[in-house]
Amino acid sequence: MPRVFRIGQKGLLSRIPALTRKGILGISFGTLVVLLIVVGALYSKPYAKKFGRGHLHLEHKYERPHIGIFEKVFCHTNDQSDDSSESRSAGDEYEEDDIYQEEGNPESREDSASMLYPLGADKNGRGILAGLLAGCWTVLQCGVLSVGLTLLLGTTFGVLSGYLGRAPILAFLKKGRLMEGKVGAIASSSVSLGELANLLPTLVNIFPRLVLVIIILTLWKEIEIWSVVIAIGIINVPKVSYAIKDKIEHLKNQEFIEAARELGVPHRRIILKHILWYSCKPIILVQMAYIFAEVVLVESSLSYLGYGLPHSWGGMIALERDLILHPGGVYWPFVFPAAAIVIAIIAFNALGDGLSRWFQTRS
Amino acid sequence: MTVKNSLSVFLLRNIIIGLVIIFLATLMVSTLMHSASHQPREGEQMSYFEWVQGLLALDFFDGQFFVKTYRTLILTFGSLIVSLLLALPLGIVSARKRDSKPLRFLTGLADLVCSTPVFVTAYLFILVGIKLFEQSFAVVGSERSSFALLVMFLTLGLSNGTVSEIMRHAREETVRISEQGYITAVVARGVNYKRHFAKSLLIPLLNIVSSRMVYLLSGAVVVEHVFTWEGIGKWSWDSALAGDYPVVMSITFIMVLFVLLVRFGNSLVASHVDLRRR
Repeated sequence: MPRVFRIGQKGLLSRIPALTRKGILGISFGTLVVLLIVVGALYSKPYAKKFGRGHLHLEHKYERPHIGIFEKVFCHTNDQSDDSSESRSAGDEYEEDDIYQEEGNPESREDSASMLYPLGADKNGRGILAGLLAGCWTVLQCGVLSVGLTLLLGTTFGVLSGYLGRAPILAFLKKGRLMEGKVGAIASSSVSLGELANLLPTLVNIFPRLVLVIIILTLWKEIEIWSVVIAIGIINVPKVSYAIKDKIEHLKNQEFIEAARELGVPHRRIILKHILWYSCKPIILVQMAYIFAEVVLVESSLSYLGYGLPHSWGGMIALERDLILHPGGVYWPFVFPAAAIVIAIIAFNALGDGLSRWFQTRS
Repeated sequence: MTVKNSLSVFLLRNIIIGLVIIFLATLMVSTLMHSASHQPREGEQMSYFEWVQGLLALDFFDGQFFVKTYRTLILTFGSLIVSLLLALPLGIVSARKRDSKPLRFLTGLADLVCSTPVFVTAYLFILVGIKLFEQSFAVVGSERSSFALLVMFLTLGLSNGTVSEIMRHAREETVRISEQGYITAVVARGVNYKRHFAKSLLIPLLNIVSSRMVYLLSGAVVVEHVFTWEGIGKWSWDSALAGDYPVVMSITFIMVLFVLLVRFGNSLVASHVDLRRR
């Protein structure tokens, strides 16, 4: 039965501003993209195994034998020799758990525009769609671990710097007869305990991010997941630390906190339960989304510059950077990874904005 | 306490804190460099104390260093000017005309561009430059065409998140200032309110600009790689990977000093405009 439209009833499009103000649109869009990334990450290995994608070793120099459906429809590509079985050098070995492990021989050119290469292939013969799915796994892995590390460190430093307060370290000089004159002035203007606890986030915040990341990455001989996670996790600590610190400074003098202190509740319980769990949960959830966007951005930049993780969207763009200067009609190896990065960053920022508005309307 | 004395205390306190931060930051980088996994080149196993001695004697600052620093500063300030020229009018006008659909579209477009990584925006601009304007980005000697410089400024200024942050803050502060009683009184008296409005907007704007400097320097590393612009961003990246201790430490010193000077300038101007901030 057709839906009866009543006069004055708002359609879906006219409700968009209201949904945006409440944050529902941002949360929906962000959640949808997160689910797509999770599904892509979980499906990356089965996809590669099922369709057999071509392996990762760079010794195999394919002559771009595979064109995708998009390329067939929208642009004219140069025909290349596709006898890729001959280009495979002897003695190549696959890693057993390499997600790009090939099953059988690569397809002939006539079969190239198939589900195996719907978005075409890069210059090494590896499918772009499989690369995007593998990049989803990298983003998920790197993002979850980095966010966890950032929240752990940022919350610790934020709690210490917010809870220890603004009492100057040299405040004891103001006691007794020492409070007059210059000694009192020095005592009042000395560094506080909170500022001391905030020292590491301040030092991290003063560096350009990529410069600090590469200096941290030099601690490892090879780029591994944990090296990238630690480097990116550390550079995002100030963001969380300052947010938690501001909130705690605001809450510290509230009546319910004073009442808890008077009742003899341990400081640890006040911090963990009354401050962090009941009051700082919105901040932590919002910052999680923003930090995830930051992780995608920094990790893709690192991969572009050649020092990121192997299966990454930024690395796919770095591989095809010559296309921009000498296009030859082949844009897709650049367009799809770039679009994936942009959509992921926008989605996580929209999720963070949506959550922020949602918590504001609720409070 | 007189105004002059309070200014001197303010300056002294900021200088001492700045020196402490520079010392701790360079010590942190020195510790990381000495712990790095690669072997330092022969003759460059320098200790932190030796580097400080060389720094005070200005041993590390040759002509090449100043030229590269100058290039990165040009890139950073040019991008900042581009960001301000785009974001400030957009933020102020969107605060005054909140229901305008073209403005909403433009702000959404700015947010979209700001979410794009720097290297993606760079390649898009290069493609547009080559296809539409038939401009080359080749290096002629050590100089760049003015078009290439403009593209670099646009790349870093637009895609670093600076435009959306400045726009958002300008919009929020414009709304907040417009609702203040003294602005209403000034408008009611028929006096030009723009002077009062600009003075109130200056401090938050300076705060956001000083906080974005670090991000601009970080984005400059990628822009210098893409456009092969020989600045200290690219130099610091290559030197860190090569384990060149004196170069990394000197660049760290310059970058931290630059950021602290910007923040100090921000505090100075803010304290001059609003004496309560001292």
